[in-house]
Amino acid sequence: MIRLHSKNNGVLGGLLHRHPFIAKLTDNPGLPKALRPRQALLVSDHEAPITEGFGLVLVAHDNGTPAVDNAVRLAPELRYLKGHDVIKFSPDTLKIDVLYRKEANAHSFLVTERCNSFCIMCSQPPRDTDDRYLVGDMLAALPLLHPDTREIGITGGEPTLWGEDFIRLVQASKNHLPNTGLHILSNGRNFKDVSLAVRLANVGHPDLMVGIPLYADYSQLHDFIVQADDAFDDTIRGILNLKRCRVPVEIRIVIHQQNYRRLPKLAEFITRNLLFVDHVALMGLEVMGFAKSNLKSLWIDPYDFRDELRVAVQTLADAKLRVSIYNTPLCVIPEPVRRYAVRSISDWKNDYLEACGCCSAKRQCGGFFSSNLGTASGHIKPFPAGFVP
Amino acid sequence: MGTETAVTFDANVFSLETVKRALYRCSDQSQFDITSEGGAITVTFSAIDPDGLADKIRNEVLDQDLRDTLSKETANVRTLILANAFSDTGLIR
Amino acid sequence: MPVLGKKFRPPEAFDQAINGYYQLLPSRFVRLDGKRYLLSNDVGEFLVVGRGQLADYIQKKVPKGSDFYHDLKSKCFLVDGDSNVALDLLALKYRTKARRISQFTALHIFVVSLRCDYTCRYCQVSRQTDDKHAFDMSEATADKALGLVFKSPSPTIKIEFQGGEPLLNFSLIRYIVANATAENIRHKKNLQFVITTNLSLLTDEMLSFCSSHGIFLSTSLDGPEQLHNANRPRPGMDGHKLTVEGIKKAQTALGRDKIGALMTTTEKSLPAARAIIDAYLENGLDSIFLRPLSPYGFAVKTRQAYKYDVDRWFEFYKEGLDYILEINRQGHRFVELYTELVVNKLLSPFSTGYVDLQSPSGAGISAIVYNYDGDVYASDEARMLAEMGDKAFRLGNVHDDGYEDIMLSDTLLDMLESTLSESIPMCTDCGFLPYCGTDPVYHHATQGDMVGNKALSGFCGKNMKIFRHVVLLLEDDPEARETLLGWVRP
Ligand code: SF4
Ligand code: SF4
Repeated sequence: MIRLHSKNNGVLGGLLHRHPFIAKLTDNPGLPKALRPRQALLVSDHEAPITEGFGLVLVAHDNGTPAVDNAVRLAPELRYLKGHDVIKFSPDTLKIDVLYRKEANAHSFLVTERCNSFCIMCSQPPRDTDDRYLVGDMLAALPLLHPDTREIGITGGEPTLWGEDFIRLVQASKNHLPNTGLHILSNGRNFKDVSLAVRLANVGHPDLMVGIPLYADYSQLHDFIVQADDAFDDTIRGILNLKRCRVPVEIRIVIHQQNYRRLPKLAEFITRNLLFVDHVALMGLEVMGFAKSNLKSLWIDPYDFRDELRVAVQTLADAKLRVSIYNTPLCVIPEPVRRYAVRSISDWKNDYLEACGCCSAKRQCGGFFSSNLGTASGHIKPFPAGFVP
Repeated sequence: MGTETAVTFDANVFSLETVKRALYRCSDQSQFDITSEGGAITVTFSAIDPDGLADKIRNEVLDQDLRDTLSKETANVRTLILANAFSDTGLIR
Repeated sequence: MPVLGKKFRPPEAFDQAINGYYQLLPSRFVRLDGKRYLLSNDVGEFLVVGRGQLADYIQKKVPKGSDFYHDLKSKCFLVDGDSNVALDLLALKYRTKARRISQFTALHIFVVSLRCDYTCRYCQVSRQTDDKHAFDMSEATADKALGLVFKSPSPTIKIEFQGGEPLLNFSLIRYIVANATAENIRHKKNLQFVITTNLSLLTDEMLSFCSSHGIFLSTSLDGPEQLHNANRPRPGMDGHKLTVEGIKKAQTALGRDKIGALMTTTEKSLPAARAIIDAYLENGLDSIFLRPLSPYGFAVKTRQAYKYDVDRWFEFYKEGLDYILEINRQGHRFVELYTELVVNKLLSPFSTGYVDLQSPSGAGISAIVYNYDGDVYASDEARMLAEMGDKAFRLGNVHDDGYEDIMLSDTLLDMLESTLSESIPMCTDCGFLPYCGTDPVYHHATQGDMVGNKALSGFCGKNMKIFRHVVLLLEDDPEARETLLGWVRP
């Protein structure tokens, strides 16, 4: 587990910032002077030279105090940071948020904590706060991201709640990172209004995907899981509208105690009604947020839904839908559908059990959310040496 | 072909149309006379296995009754769906 | 009952359907056996239900919250106060289905010669003659026909060469393949060629032509030697030997996937299902089409005789399919094509294009036949009927009529209109309708009218039996189900 924010930073020199400062990190003290004010110099050891003029100097060691303005001693848990990473520094609290790590396997921007649903297993429980600054943060960070970044994500909360600002974020992603894919996580409900779908399509982002959760094959159950009346109808209409506008759509199914029984029927429902979607992801539960507090009603050992999972995946794959299994240890996925498993967990919250140490499939296996280590399947069984799953 | 057999239906329960439609399904087995009188619909026929055919007719009438309910109740919504299908903008792909 | 935190509402709180009230959506049913029914809707979703469940459904007594309720809802058999998106989904699926129908003719059959080196008794079309050209298609006719082929809006075009024995006029096949290929540079269709041949005249030169143009061969193999030769007499009685040799040669020269065989079922085939299938296995073929007895050529039979034929044929089919399922269980993939078609109709979200199983009648829409003399027919059977003297299904002639004349001819429009199975008595509320079709030529030939009384129809009788058999296999026999699911192709 990697920490993505910390307040454990110390002021070393005169702090001139009054407002939060979003900057790209560099380890090049010789950067042209004109560029320095907008960047943060990362100083990894006490022998490294420190030059004047940087917007921020992050000292990632404990020896000596440099005599420059805006110098901050970096919290030990953030010392993994490297050049090209992007951070946000808040001068009042000394908090540093890591907005982008070039080395990460996933780059997501949370753009709001507000949501029009209230899913019983939400890992990021919605909060009704004014967090419009998050939109500004992403807009500020986008130009700083490395142009080779494969994909970035927009998540929430429900990003479409921002309306026109949501479209602006997509537009900015396209403008600043024309070669970077954009993956949006939305509950899809706002796209029941076809004009939002049209506006999204009109951005013309070349590599866009909207990931939309669908938890059941009929309304009562889906609506209960997301704790919102009419959500099922809204979401289905949203998906139809997006596809009418040729926007790629991914269906995301989190599997838990409340919906695993009808998983094969949900798969059939998708092949019969939503065959034109571009990807279906079946996902294990992340024990975070509401999923943690409602664990009793949600947890089911993946071993106990293996049959449902197998049938569902086969149904989808037989219909030539692109399908993936996320967040599920390889050793509890039934053999015939193991090849659909994907290492999906973001690296900063990805861990393995001790037992996994001797597993020959560890490199192919997605492992566990760090938060799930306490509730792992009772059927984890390392693959013997030489076994190629 | 054996002797004449009669099967009777209560006209308050089953419509003449329902009985006729059910008999159509049996038209490979025999020919039928239908009379409707005093609240009863009577079907007469002759067949090699009259009891078997009588059972089949009763079952077909029961099924046909359900079919008629089903098509009556759904006629409007079918029109609605069709209108929707051919007016809406296309799902492109 | 889920134990959730206080901020969450229980499942019942999200059911907006008042007192479990629901509204029926358009559907049909058909009895499967003593206890069970198939309930289906226009877009092909289905459920197998008991009599009690069926009655509950229609009388609106299905208990709310039950699995059956949710199954009905999930498959668009009902809408309730909680959700009406099923109406959108149904409309969408109707439209998809309609677009498929509107794509028109994908299969174009060219009868390049009526001459044949065989003297099959059941064949109504072949001609023995010394005048080589009286029954051969001319280049001029082929040119006109090709012009029509490329008017078809279908993105896939399959040109099939038939006879007689088409290899007797191979120079015309070369001519058509070359011209069609050249023409297609402009049209960019997915263009395929098939030659339906008895293979006896197949030369290495022909094979290399087929190989270089990716041409598929389809031959006739009726079973073991004795049966095949009895069905298909050839002067010298060496038909079976030549066919088998031809299959082997073609498998080597073109690849195993480029040669298939069809059988004709006759009285003599009926007791020999297993032996016929073995003959296919021995010759390295991966599929068989257990075809029904053809009514054409038995024109004087009575109505009852057709039903009787259907019953006997069905026993043959069942025995054959049982054996084929056993072969699959033993680890060898071998497919019965009609069953494959039915399973796909039932289970695949995509539809199949076999002419007989489509409503409106696939004839003229999925297939169109250009006879050697330029006459155009709506199906191969329509052409056979014409050779027997009944030209009821002649749509026109390539020399006299344009594409619109033919596709909008009264004959074709009458055929289409009278065969919309949604409006045919019995079909109109038959649960098999979404998977079935109509066969106007068959009903014209057997009952004298294109629609026909389905209670008397061998076509309906055969389909009902097969549908029932396949659905019940899927329901009751897990091993058979596994095999059949493997035949669904997306
Ligand atoms: S034992 Fe192997 S397959 Fe199972 S969770 Fe650990 S690494 Fe993955
Ligand atoms: S032909 Fe027979 S099986 Fe087919 S839809 Fe009509 S009644 Fe049903």
